[in-house]
Amino acid sequence: MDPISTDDSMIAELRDGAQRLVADYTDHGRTRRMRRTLPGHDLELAATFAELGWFGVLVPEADGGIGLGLAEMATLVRELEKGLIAEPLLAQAVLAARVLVHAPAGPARSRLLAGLAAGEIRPALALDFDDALPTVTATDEGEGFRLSGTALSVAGAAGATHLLVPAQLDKGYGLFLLPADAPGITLSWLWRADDSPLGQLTLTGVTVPDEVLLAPPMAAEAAISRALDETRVVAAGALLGLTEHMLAMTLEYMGIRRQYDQLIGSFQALQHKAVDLYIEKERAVAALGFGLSRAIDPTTLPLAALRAKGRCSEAASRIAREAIQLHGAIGFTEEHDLGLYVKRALTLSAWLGNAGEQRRRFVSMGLALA
Amino acid sequence: MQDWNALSDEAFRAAARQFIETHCPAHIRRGEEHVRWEQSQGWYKAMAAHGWLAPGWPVEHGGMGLKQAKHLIYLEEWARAGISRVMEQGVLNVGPVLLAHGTPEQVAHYLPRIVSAEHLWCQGFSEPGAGSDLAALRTEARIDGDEFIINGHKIWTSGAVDANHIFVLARTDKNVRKQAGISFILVDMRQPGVTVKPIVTINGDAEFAEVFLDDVRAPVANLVGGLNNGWKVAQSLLGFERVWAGSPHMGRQAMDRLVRVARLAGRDRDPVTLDRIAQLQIDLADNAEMYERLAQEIRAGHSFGFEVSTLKIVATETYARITELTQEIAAERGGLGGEVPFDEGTADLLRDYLTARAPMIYGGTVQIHRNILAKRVLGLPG
Repeated sequence: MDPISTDDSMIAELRDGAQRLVADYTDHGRTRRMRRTLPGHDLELAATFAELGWFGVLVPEADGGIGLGLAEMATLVRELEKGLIAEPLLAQAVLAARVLVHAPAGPARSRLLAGLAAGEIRPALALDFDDALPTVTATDEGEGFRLSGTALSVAGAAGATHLLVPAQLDKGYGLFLLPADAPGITLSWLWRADDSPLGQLTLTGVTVPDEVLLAPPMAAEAAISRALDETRVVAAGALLGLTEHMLAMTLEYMGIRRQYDQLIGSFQALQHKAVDLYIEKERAVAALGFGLSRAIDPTTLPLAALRAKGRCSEAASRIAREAIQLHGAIGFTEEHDLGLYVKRALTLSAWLGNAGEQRRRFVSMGLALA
Repeated sequence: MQDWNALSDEAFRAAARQFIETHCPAHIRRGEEHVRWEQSQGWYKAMAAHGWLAPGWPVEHGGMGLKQAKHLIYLEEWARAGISRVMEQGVLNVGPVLLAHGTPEQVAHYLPRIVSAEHLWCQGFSEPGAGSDLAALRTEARIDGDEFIINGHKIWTSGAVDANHIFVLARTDKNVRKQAGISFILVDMRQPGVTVKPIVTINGDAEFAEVFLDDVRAPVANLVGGLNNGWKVAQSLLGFERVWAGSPHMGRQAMDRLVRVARLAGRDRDPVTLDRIAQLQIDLADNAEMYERLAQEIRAGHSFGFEVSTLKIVATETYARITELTQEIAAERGGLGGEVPFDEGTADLLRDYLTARAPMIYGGTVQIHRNILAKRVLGLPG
């Protein structure tokens, strides 16, 4: 049904493929040129992802995808983030894809998933800040619906062909499918810490036919909630990749930078700091493993997601700022690539809830005193 | 003879639990690190009588022959039941070291006497000038006929006040690299020249002692692993047990007390307190996950390396931080010693806080383990 595979050979194959792509394709001149531009990711690279089938990794085989699991997807983005080339997979091929996977079966859903897997359809989920459902209402017009309102945090909106819009009906939120260029849709942009675009969506009386209601109330919210948690686990993998890369950059620098006629990596104060970062990375590896091992069961998924996302967000943001410190002044420059990784880490740490937010969820689940 | 390894993990755990519940008296189940022999000998002898004393030893020597995975389960059950360690050096270190490095005569002589509780062992490694830098030790052993004559000063010797034997690292060659001139010698403490002086800990316990050795004699036949080979012998006994130092068992017991004190102190709905407890709960859970991953490797028969240093740091520092928060959320009562009264119960806050300092020091301080990781895992320059 929904395999969260742990097929080691497939994971190894995806890892190798991603590592090759990172080796061949990473170009931080291009990374810099794409900052504060639309769509903010490389369309040629996205086409390569599509050819490799990576938009369909999490789409079931019956719907035209590869039908692999979160572990495979997490492996993929963990490697791709080392070259800062994972987008638009997280927003489109994970979050939006999983919302569709968990939506009730129907012709529209099947068509979308098949198109997604083929790389022709690029959906994005419309949310408000802090993973809230957007302030959008849907009025039943008898024949079709009329949607109005705003969604202030739409990751992956740039380059999206379709928007998945949760909108309030009489009995809760339903999930609607809108072409990104439908009349009445306007998108403006905020810039994330890494200078990639975050969509802010305004719907002004957008009229849609009945068949674009992908999921009725209850089913829509359940699908979104589950997809958010699954994406948290995969995003934890992306954060771990950034963590590993920044730690490796820092250790390398400590092994070449000399002061007082010594390599700075020989100073015990710095060694202990580096070890603490390594330990934090090891904790993140364990937390991601915990998350992946419990993500398939919807009853254990929320804890799995918050543990993985919380720890990996903490690790990435901590190592980001300590990496600047350990690089010294060069780490504070625009010229050095470290800053690109730091900003990406801050972006992904905050997205779908940083460590503090995940702790808040932990407390609200009654687990602090358990 | 029961083949424990043939049982499923669950069945073995149940058997261990039943043995403990049946035979372990309540007064050594208070989670104290060490208790005196007069309180603990009944439990030691019960374990010996029922074959549960020496989990890691081979069956033919009176052990349980447990594979490491089962051994870990047994240790987990001890921890769950809050059982104190009772004169563990013979079982934990002397037996394995003799089986690995001893002569057949040493094995035949000493192992049965550990099982029978005739020999109670302590470990003579640390010295006033040789703690983390153990190889700097200055205790000397010179050969006089067929005996060593040993002079020196050992310190932080757990169980020395009750022990009648000590295994000693002593310098037998001063003209070589410091690690290369050390020998591992078994010494009977029941002779003139051995003076044991208890050290009272910050907690008021007398679990440690100083051991003074003045012209103390041991037969040359008590040398283990060859002359000047003691450093290697000593390294080998710091093996498997180090895995256990990274388990979350101490942290879990401390967390139970933290949650209890949060309720006693009326802080169980305070958002600030809940957030900080949540952080520690998550840290502890990640410690458990890291430990479980290592345990799985061990179960699969894989070897382990420096990840034990990582786990040791994580486990001991997490444990310590839990006791720190426990003391802090008690507010003014955190400044009280002994059993502190709350409206609906009492708790000893200071003792846990102080006890948690020790694991960050013994078995290599957490700073020494950071040095090890920096050089051996991160490859940073020396």
